[in-house]
Amino acid sequence: MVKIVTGDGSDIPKSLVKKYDITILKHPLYFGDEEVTGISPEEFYRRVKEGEMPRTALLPTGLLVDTYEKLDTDTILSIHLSSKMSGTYNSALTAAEMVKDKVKVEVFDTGLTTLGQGTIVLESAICASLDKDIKSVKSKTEEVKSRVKMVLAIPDLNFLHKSGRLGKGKALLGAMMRIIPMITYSGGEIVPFGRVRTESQAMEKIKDEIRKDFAKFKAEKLKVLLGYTTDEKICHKLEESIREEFSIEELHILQLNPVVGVYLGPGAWGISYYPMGS
Amino acid sequence: MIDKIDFKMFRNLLIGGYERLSSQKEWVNNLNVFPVPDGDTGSNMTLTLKGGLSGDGNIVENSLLAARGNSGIILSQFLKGFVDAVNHKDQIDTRDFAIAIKEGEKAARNAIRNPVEGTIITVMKEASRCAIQSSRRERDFIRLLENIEKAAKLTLKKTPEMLPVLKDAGVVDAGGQGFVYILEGALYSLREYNLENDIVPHISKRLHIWKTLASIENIYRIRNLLDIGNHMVKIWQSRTIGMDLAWERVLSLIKNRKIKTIPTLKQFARRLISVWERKIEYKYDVECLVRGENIEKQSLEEEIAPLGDSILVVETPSLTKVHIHTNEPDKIFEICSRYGELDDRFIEDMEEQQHEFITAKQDTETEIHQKVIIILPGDGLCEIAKSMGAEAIKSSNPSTKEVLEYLNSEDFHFVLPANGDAIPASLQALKCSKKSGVVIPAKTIPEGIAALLAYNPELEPNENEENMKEAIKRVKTGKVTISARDAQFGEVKVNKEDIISIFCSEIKVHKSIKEAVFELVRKMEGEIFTLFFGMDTKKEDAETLLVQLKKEVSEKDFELYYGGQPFYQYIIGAE
Repeated sequence: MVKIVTGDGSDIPKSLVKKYDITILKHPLYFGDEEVTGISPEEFYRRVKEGEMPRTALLPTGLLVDTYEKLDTDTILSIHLSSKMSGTYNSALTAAEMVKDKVKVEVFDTGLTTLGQGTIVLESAICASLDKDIKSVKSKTEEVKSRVKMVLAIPDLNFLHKSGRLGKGKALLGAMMRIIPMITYSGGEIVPFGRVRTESQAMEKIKDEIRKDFAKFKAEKLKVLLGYTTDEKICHKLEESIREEFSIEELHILQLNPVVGVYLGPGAWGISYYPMGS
Repeated sequence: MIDKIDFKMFRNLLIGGYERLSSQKEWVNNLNVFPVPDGDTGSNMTLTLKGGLSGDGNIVENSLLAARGNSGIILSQFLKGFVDAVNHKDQIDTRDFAIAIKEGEKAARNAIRNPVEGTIITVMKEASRCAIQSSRRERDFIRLLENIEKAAKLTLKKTPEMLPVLKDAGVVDAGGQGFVYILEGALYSLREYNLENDIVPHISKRLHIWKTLASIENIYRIRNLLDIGNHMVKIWQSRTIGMDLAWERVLSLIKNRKIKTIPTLKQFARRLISVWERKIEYKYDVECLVRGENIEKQSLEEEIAPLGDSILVVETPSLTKVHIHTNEPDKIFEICSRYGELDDRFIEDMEEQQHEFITAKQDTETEIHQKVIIILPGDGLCEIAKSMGAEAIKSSNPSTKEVLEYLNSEDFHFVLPANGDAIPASLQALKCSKKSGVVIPAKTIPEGIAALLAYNPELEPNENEENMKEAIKRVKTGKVTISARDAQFGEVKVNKEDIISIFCSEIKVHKSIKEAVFELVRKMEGEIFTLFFGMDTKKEDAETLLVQLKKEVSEKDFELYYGGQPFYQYIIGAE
């Protein structure tokens, strides 16, 4: 059976990680020189709000090699965050090459991070759990990648800016009025999605986008992941609002992993949706 | 020598044609610039052939049912004409075959309302002419098909000379190329070629690019090629589909020593894109089947003709297929339904298709740059607008000339007057400048700012225009000022020096500025209120007012900024 490996930057509900037997590796996490890998979100955001600057590192090749070798399978699909955002994809390629005599590892670049990556991992794992071969699983992974969209609302873009990963999203910086910057991904990189003044405008903008994608893919229903760094309420409002309009196959709300929080900062939230059907 | 073929063999020829075509499907898609550059000719022709070959063996009916797009329908008609001509025979010789091709060509031509030369139609015509001529002496099918294929290829090469849009794009006609591939495939299977060996092996495309570059470099000793290679590899790596066309063209140009530098390469890429971006006149690709006996094809065709172009009406005894590019799909269906029972309705938004095709092709360096110019009456407002990426003209009511000075680039300009009185000057300036752009009719400062916020450099100009116009509708504007003279507004009498509030052309006199602001906040609905205080308002007073608002209307959000505008103590936006 194909087994799925990913990093903990993939935001997936914990219950499903177990259910679909997904192996999640922890990205190293630091405050200054102090390693705090695996820290609880509460503790993490408390320290961030106190002004400490966190940082992460890519998944070490050694950890990937160990994991690939120890998994009880002959085929692994290793799914990672955008290769334009992190060297993890390359680490995985190197690791896959090193273990190729023992186990076949296919490495996949989602071109996304956090919830979007989570959706791709989750759907691939569901497919793998049906005992499909690597070819079918990978084609599922590709299909989901071609449809999934992630939009994040990030009140404070400085975390992303300092990390050097904001890319074209820089156009959203510097506004002398209070705005909520929104980003999405294109070609593996961050691009501006829009700037709004209020949460309800942000939600409307997201729903507009879902409507467009619904029509584009002639979709019938959605699978949705909603995530937040510190404020859960907005996700529930968004859930209510999209349930009113769209047919929802599955929806989960989760707190984003600290390794993602490093880049999004407190107050951020977002959605990843996968339009299904036809 | 093969001097006779039967139906089974004919089917094999078509399978060969299908395999060859489908292996080059993407390439044909990339050539597609006429009649609409939506990049699907290869897919359409492939699907049509595939449909014809699958199912119960009725090639004509099945391909007609499967036909998609102009080229697909033309192809299915060709097959119909061909098969009808030889249907009564068990075996055919080269003469029968030539006549069948001629009939196929006639059927295809008749299916189109306005046949345009330089397309698949012309390629078919020359192929059939050659078939007739050559069948007079050739008894061997291989020799015959070789001649036909050669004639078709030669004609294909000439298509850019016949159809300027092809020449501009530096391509040959996509449908014609598809037809040539089918002939090639048929010839291959006739020669019992193993097609699998013929398809370009799936070695790393990158390796292929590098190797070719290296050999050209050695031959011509041209520098810079490495950069061009890097450029192309980058495009390829970013998973942009369909760069093959650009790449092949670049290679041939390099070989002819026409492209030696990156700027020339970029120029070439821009030219390609400008053709792909041709404006679509009719938005929808509409198709349907009309079931019923004795449908009056000509009258149906005449009825729908005024509603669009690329019209194709083709028929078998029991059903008729209609294809049209139009802006009124419903009307088309309504007309068709009067002729028979409607089936297989199909509408495709070609603008969207084209858009996807174009965005997939674009490299960052060939994006259209856009620029927002906003007209605002205060220095504070201008600073805010600049912080959000706009160019700001500080003026209450600028002249056409003042606006004109800002329309100086090759970018796409959005002009935001942010003042009803400044709209005419903005429109006039844009017209005089002959630059591309649009005036977003924001009539107030909050509307102008809302439109500016809705602008996203990542989107296409038309999407931005739509979003900005929508944003204007979401915001309400209230103003507080001190009357400069005595005046009568309907029922309301205003004395000089009176404090007045204005909202939705409703004017009210107040005892204090605070009262005026509170009255406006009560009347204007919204979640968030943005107050811009003017040049005559003290900062401390404004801040005190903000505190009072936050305290007394605690369920709403308030924000205060220095606007620096004259005349108005406060301008308030609510959204």
